[in-house]
Amino acid sequence: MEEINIGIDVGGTHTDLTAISGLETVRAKALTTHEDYSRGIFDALTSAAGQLSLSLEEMMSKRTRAFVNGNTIVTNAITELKGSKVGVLTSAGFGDICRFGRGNRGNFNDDQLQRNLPQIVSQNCIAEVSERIDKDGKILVALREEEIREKTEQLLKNGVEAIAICFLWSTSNEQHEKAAQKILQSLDNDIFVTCSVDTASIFREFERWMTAILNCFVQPSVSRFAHAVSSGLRDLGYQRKVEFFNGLGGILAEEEVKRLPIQMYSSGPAGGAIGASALGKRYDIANLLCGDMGGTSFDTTLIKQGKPIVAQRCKIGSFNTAISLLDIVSVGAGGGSIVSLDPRGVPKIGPESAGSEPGPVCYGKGGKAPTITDCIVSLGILRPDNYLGGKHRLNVNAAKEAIEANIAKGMGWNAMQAAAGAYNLVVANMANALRGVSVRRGHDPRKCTFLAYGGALPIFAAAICRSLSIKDMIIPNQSSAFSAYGLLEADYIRRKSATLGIPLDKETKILQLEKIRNKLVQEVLVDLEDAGFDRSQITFNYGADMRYEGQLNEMYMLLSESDFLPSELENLRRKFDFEYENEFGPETAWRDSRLMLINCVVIGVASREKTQLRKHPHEPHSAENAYIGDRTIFLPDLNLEKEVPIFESEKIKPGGIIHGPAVIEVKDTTIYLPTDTVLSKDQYINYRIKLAEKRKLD
Amino acid sequence: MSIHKSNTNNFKIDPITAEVIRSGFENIADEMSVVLLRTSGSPVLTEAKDFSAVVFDASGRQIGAAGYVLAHLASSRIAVKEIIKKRLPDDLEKGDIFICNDPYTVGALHQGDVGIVMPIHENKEVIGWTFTNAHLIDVGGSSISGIAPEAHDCFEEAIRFPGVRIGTSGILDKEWIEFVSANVRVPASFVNDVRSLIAACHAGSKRVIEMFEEYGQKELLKYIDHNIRLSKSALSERIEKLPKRTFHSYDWVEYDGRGTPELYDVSCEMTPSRGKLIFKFSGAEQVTAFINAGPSAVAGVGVITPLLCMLAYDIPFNEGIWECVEIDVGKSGTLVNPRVPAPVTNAHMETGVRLGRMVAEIFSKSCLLSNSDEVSSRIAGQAPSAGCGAAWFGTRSDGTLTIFFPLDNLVAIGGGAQSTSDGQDLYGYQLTLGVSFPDVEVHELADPFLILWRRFRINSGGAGFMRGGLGLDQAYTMHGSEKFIGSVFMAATELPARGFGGGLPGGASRTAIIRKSNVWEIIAAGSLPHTPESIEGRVEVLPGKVSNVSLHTGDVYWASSSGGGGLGDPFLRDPELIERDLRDNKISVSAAHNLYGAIIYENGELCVNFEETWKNREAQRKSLVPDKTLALREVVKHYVGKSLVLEKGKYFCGMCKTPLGSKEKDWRLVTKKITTPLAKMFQESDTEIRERVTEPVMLHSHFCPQCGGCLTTEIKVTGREISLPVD
Repeated sequence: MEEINIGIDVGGTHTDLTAISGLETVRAKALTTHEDYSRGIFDALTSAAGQLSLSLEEMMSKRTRAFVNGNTIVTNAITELKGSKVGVLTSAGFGDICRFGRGNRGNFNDDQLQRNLPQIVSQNCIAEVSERIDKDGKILVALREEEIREKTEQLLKNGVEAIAICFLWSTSNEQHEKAAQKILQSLDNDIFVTCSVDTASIFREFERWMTAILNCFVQPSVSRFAHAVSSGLRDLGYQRKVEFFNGLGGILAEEEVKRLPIQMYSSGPAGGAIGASALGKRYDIANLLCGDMGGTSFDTTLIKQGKPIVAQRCKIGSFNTAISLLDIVSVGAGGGSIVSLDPRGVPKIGPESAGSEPGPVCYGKGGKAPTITDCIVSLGILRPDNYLGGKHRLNVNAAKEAIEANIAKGMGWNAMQAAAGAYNLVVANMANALRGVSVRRGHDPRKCTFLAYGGALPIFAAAICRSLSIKDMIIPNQSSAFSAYGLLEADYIRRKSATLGIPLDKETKILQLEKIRNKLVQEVLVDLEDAGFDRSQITFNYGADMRYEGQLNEMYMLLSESDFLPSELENLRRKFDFEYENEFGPETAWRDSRLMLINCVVIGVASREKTQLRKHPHEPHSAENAYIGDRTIFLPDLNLEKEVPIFESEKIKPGGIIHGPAVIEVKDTTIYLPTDTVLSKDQYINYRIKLAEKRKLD
Repeated sequence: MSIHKSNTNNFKIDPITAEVIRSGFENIADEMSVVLLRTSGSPVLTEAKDFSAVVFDASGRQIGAAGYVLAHLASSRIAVKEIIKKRLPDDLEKGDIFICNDPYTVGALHQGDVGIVMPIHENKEVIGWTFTNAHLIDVGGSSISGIAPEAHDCFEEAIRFPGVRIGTSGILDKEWIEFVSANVRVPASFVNDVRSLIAACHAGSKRVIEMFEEYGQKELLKYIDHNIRLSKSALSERIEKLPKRTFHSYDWVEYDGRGTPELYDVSCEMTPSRGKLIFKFSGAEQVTAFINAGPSAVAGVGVITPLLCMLAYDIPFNEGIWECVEIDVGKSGTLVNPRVPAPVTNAHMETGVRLGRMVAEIFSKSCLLSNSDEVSSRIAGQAPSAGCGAAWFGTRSDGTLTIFFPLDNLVAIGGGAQSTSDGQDLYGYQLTLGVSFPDVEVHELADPFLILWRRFRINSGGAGFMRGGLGLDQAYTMHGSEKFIGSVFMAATELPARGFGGGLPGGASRTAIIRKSNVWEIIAAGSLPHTPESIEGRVEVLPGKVSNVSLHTGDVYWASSSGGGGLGDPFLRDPELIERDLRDNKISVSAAHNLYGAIIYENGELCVNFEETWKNREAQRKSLVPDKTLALREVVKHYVGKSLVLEKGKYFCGMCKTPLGSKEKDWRLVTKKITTPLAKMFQESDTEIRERVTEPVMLHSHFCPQCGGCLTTEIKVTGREISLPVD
C-alpha cells in the first residue's frame, strides 16, 4: 500500500491540495472558509480521498505519512488588522514608538493618501516602565518588580489578551525582558506573552518590538486554527506529526506555531518557492525566475544557484519587522486587478482589486469595474464555461460592455483593442517586477528559466518571457496547486540570530563571535530535537550581517567553519571586501574603514524524506490527438482576431508537441501559446515552452 | 490640448507602448537609486533618503525620475541643461563624469547635495543623460554637513563644484580624489559616495541604451514626446478647473544667527493662464546668511513640491509638468534671486520652504473656489516643512572621530490637515517623500549618546475641524564621551505652519539644552529621567541658528519638532475625536478646552462631555456674534472643511450657506473679526511658539455673521505692512 504525502495551501480564495501517492499525484481544490480555515482544509481532504477512492478516515489513519500546511492566516490577520487586543510593556520614554515607528510618510506624491501607521495597540494598552539597559548590556536603571505588577494589572484590567515585552537593548541583555515575563506569568498563567528578544535577537528596536506585538496580535487565532486542524486530523485517526510551514520555506511543529505564529507569515508563497527550488534540482537548472499570479497579486522570486534568496527585516503589511522571509516581491497585478483610465486617459492596472467579492464583471456578482479576468475572457482566451473546471459560467458580454464603457470609449478604441491593451500592460507590469527581483540582485533575466504557476499566469507567461528575452519556460503540470506541492519538498529550518555590534579588528573579537555562534547552535539544536530530530540529522550553516564602520545598513554573508578561527581574521576581511564588490561593483569596498560585525546568524536544517517523482517516457511527437477544435481569439500580442486551435491537456501525452498560436485548456488553468513558441509535455508531465528570438518593433 | 487630439497626429501612437516605455524609464531611474542606496554608507541616503536618480533625453528633458526629494527634480534639470549648454558639441566624450553642487551655476539645492551628470552615448552620439545626487555627510567649509548657519558668504560655506569634469571613460581622476580628500572632513566616505553616484549612472546608462536598441531611436523619441505631452495636457486640464484669477500670499523668513531675530519679507502670486500657472516671487534684499534661495530652492521647494503633492498628485512626472509652470523671480540680488557671494547652504530649508508654504496656501485658496469637487477637496493646512536640525562632531570612547547627525527631529515634523483626514504625524518636509529616521538603537550603537525619550510632541498639530499632524519630541545626553561640538538650525520658531479655512497654526520648533543636568544622578539613584519635568538643570533655549554649541557630560539636548496647520474651524471638530486625541496624548486638556471649546471631565480616563461642549462652543460664539441664528452643531452636519463657496458671482459661507457679498467685494468686510496675539493664545494652550516681543505676531480670525463659524485665520506681524491685493 502506497503511503500518501499531503500538502495543503490555504490561500485567500482557494484552499489547494496536492497529494502524492506513489506514482499518482492528486490535486484538490476547495473554497477557503474565512470564518474557520480548518473547514476548507477538511473539504479539500474529502475531495482528495474521493479521487483516491478512499474514505477520509481510511486515507488519514492508514495511508497518510505526512501532512504539511501553509496558509495565509497570519497574512490576512495583519492585512485586515484583525487580531487580539495586545498590551505592551516598554521602556519609559519610548511608548510611542510602536505607534509611529520611524516615521509615516509613504514614497508617493499625493498628500491625501499619506496615513499614519495603523494603530493595532491602543494608547491605554501601552505601559511604560522604568528600566534601561545600554548598548553594551549594562543595566543603567534596574527593573522594579512592583512596577511591573502594577502596570500589568492595569493592562489586564483594560482587557488585553496578550502582552508583548519590548525593552531597549534586550539584545545585549535579556534579563529585564525575561524577568518581566516571569512576573507576568506569575500574575496570569494563561495570558500569552512574547519577549521581543525571543522573536529576533537583533538590534533596531522598532522592528523587534513590532514583531513581538504582531506575534501577540495573531497568536490567539492562529493557535485556535492549529488546534482545530490537529485535533480534527487526530479524530480521523492521523497519528503522524501535523506540520506547518513558515515564511522561510521550512517546517514548523505545532508547538512552535503556537509560540511564534508570526513565522507563518507568507507561508503559502514560500511553498511555491521551495517547490521551484526542488523542481530546479530535478531539471538541473541553477537559476529560475518564478512567478505566481493569483486573484489579487503577482508574486515573484528568484532561485539563485538552486536556492531561494532570504530577505531580512521584512515589511509585513504596513509594519517593519525583524523577521526573515523568502524574498518574494509582490505587485498588485492579479486576475481581479481593476483596469481604469488615469487622468491622462491612459489605461492603468490596479492597485485596486475586485477580489472575489464582488469579483470581476464576468462573474455576474455585481462587479462593475472591468478587471484583468474580464479582459482575457473578452479576448476569447478563457472559455467562459470552463472556469474553475466549469463550476462557474462567465458572462462575456457583461465583461465586454464594462471594458467598452470604462476604458475603450475614452481611448477611441473598441473593446477588443482595449482588452488587448490591458493584457499587454499587465504583462509589462509583471516583467518590471521580474526585473526587480533579478536585475536588482545582479542577475540577468535572460540567463534564467521562467517558472510560471498559479491559476492565471499561464495565460500571460509566454508574453512576459518575450518582453524579458527569456527563451525557456516551464509551466508545472499542477500549476494552480504548485505551492501546495512545494510544501512537500521542504525541510525543518531554524534560523537564529544575535546582535554583537563590534568592530572586527582584533583576533579576540573572533572568539566573541564564536561564543555567540555556539550559543545559537545550541538553541537551534534544542528546537530541532524537540521536533524529533537527533543531532546527526542536522546540518548547520552560518552567516553574519556585516558593514563598514560609518554605514548603517548591513550586508549578509555566508560564513564557513574556518571563518571562526582567530587566525583567519585577515581572510575574513578580504572575503567580505570581495563579496561586497561582487554585490555592489568594483572599487566600492571601503578599504580604509573598520569592518563591523553586527549580527551572527545560525541556520539549522533537518532533512525530511521526500517523495520521488516518476519519469515518463517522452518520445517527441505531434500532439494532434489532443486537438479539440478552433476558437476565434483576439490575439493581444498581434492585435488581430484569428482562428486558433484549442487542445485539451489531459489528452497530451509526454513528448507531445504543440506550436503556437494555440490555447491549451487544463482542468484548473489555461495556457496561451503565442506565435513563435513551441510547447512540449516533458518527462515529469510539466509543460516546457521554448521561445524564438525576440522581434523588434518596426 | 486634449488627449484625443494628441492621439491623432501624424505618428501612429500606441498608448500601451507609450505607457510601457514611460514605466520603463521610471524603472531605470528606480534601478539607479537601488544601486545608489545599496552602495552608499551615508545615513543621509539610507535612512533620510536624501538622494535622487533622474534620466534625461538628449535635449535635457526629464523622462524618468526616482528618489525621495521632490526638489531634486528642479536641481537635476538645471544641472543637466547647464552641462549641455557648456559642453556640447565639442567638449564631451563618452564616459565623462561631471560633478555639480553649486547652487549658483548648476542649480544644486545646496552645496551638501553632490550631483553627478554623465552622458549616455550610442554610436558616438549623445542619446541621453543620467543624473544622480545625494546629500553627502560633509562637503568641507566652515561647518559640518554642508550646512553653515553662521557663514557670511558662499566661500565660507563649502567647496563648490560648478559642473566640472572629474573623470573620463567612467573612471574617477586620481588627482581630483587627492584634491577633494584634502578639502572635506571625512574623505573616505565622500569619495565612496561619489563612486556610488557614478555606479548608479552607469547602471542607468546601460538600460537606456538597451531601450534605444529595442525600440529604435526614432520610435523611442516619438514616444518620449508623446508621454511628455500626455502629462502636460493632464495637468493643463486640471489647471483649467481653477478659478481664472490671481491669488497672493506673503510670509517672512526667520533668521537670528547674528544675534537679533530678523524677519525678511517674501511674497508670491499665482495666476492660471491657458493651462499654465504663472508664479511671481519677490523677496527682501539678499542677506549675508545661509537662507538665500537659489533657483532650485525656488522652483523645486517653492513650486514643484506643493504642485506634485496637492494638484498634480496622480499625474506621472516628466518634463510635461514643467511645461505647465512659469516662474518669475524678479530682479537679482534678493532673497529669491540671490547673487554670489550670498550664502545659500540652507536655502531650501528656510526661504525655499517659506515659498513652498506660500504656494501651498495659494493652491488651497484657489482650489477652494473651484467648481470641481475633486479640485476643491485639495485644500489643506500648511505642512511646516521646518525641522530642528543638529550636527555634532566629537570622539567616541575609543578615541575615534565621529559625526553624529541625528535626522530625528529634523525630519519628524507634522503634515498639514487634509480635507479627508487629519494631517499625517511625522510627515517630514513636504519635499521629502518616504522619509524615516533611525532607531534609537541604531544611534546608540554607532555613537556615544543615550536617548532619554522619543515621543509625539503634544499639541504640535494645529487645531481644526481636521487637525494638523504632530511632530517629534526627543532628548539625548552623551554616554561614553566627554564633549561634542555642533551646530543647530531650525526654521519656524515664531511663525509656525498656518491653518486654512478657519484652522489654527501648528506648534512651532524649539530646541533647548538642559545644562549641567542631574540625569546621571537620577539614573544612579535607580530612576529613569524620561520627561523634561523629571530633570533639573538650567534650560538654555537655543536660537534658530547657531554654530559651535558645545555639549558636556550631563547636558541634555532636547528638541521639539513643529506640526502641521489645521483645516476648518476647531469648534466644528467632532468631540469624539477630541476625546480620542486627549487619550492618545496628542492634545492637552488646556488645548482641548481653549482651542476646541471642549468640556472635559475625568472618569478613570479623560472624557469629553459632548452636550456641554456644543453648548460651550455655541455660547462662546454667541458672545462674539450676538445676532447669530444658526447653531454650530447644525451647520457641521453638511460641512466638509470648505469654509467658503463661490457661486454665480457671489460668496457664501461654506458652513451655513449665508451670502457674504459679490465676488468683486472683499467678503471679510461683512465678517466679525477678532485679533489675538498668537503667542499668548498658544502659551495658554501649552503649544510651542517663540514670542516675538518687538513685533508681536497676531492671529486675525474672521467669523460668519450668521453661524459664527470661523471662515479664515490670517497671520500678521505687527508693524509690517502687507501691500497685497485682497484675494
